[in-house]
Amino acid sequence: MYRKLLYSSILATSIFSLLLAPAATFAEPATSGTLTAADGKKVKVVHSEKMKVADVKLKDVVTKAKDAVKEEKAKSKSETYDYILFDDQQIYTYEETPTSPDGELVVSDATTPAQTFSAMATSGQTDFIDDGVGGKQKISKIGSVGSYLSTVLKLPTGSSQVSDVSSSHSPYNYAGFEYTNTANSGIGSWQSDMGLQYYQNLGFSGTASGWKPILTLKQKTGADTWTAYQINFDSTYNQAQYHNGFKPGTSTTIYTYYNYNGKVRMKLTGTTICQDMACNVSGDYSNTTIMESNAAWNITKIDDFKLLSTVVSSNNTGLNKAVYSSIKVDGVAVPSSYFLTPQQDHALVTRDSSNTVTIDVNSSLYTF
Amino acid sequence: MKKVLIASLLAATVIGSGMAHASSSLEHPSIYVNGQKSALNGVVPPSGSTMVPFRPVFDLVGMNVSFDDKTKIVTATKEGVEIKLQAGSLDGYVNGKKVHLNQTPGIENNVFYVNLRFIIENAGGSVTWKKISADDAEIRITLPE
Repeated sequence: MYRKLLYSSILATSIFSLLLAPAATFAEPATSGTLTAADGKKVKVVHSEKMKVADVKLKDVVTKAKDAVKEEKAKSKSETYDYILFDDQQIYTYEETPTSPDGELVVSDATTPAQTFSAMATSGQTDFIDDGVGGKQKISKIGSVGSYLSTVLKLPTGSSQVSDVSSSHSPYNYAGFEYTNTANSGIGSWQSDMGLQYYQNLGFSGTASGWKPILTLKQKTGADTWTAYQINFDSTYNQAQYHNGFKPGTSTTIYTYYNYNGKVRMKLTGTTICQDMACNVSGDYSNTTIMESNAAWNITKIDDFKLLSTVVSSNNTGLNKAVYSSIKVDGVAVPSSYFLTPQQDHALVTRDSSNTVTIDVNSSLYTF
Repeated sequence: MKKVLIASLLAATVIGSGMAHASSSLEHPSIYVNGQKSALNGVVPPSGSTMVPFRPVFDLVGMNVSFDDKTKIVTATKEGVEIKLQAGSLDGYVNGKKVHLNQTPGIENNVFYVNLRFIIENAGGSVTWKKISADDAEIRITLPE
């Protein structure tokens, strides 16, 4: 199956200080400059893309980013705001922090990933994940699915709750949506995964654990072809820039939109282990991160929203846990009747009277 | 006596020095003290400030050190010099005078990392950083005789 996978390569580096080692040596060469935004603020721009993006394009991106951050600041009180815009050529990561209030923009190329993020459902109720283990809860509001789903995700922490990251294990906790076109060989179907991937090489020292945002959007464009757009911060490419992540053991609120002014969008609010993406300031900080498609896909309908906890693994083993509470569609608590039969692959999916969904992935405990 | 002191200080850097790195790199440069290779483990984050575990580096410069777990403040003293650093703060203090840091000290993976150059220079030593190849560097610390 051919996939056009687009992927972040945050190779840029922050050159905030040169105390002992030039920061530029930390990654591939990057250049930096400033750009005057529409609001008159000087925005630092770090270029790590191969073909420099024109300033007029960057100004447009900064305007979008500043508008999105301004909108979020009116709704929530985070210390740090990250806005990540992606298209089929570049990834733009814009950040405002208390120590960088005018903003910083990192431009990087979208490239083909070394490994794919799938853990996709195939069919059936057991062993439904073809490249790992996990559990899945679909939520379907008959008639009108709604424009967005929100939920509070309690993240697992420590090796007793989540597999260590290795070449054979990669844990994910995420929400998303699905739409299957029943006609035309399924062409026009959509799948989106929006959530968090576990890393253990974060923080300023590269030894801290955390959960980094990931967004995958796939469209079926041929009888056997899915075209995919993906943003994540895989360790292969992100060492110079994205050292931050959501803190294990804390709660993160996820908002998933399939049509936010035509665009696919994820918003995350929670506690991160650093104030800024380079982790110049470490500690617990409130963070709002938005990931958004540059293109307006104008997805008009979906079949269902979904909640998952998975481990991509080469040997069908793994450990992970997600507790999804306050599950709402369009801001309204989802009633019991919307929850479909869960899928379990070496996992147990339970739901209590408050409709809190717990997905416990444990290949040692659950053999089904 | 001085040789014994240096030897014991270098040995001390092995203890509680955090994770060990088999080979040096730009992110984990080798560190030399008065010409001798030290077991001190440094890490260079994107800010460019080399960070090291706090106890070995304060031992290295012969400072008495205390750590307040509640405030996450480490205080080191020696012959009229007092250094204070707090996890997560960009403000360091030398004899009560505030100094802006480019990288916060912090606790990661149960190791409290502090700013190497800030400590060495305020303890009377000097630090040089040298790139020795495309992907490797070394740090040379000179402490007063």
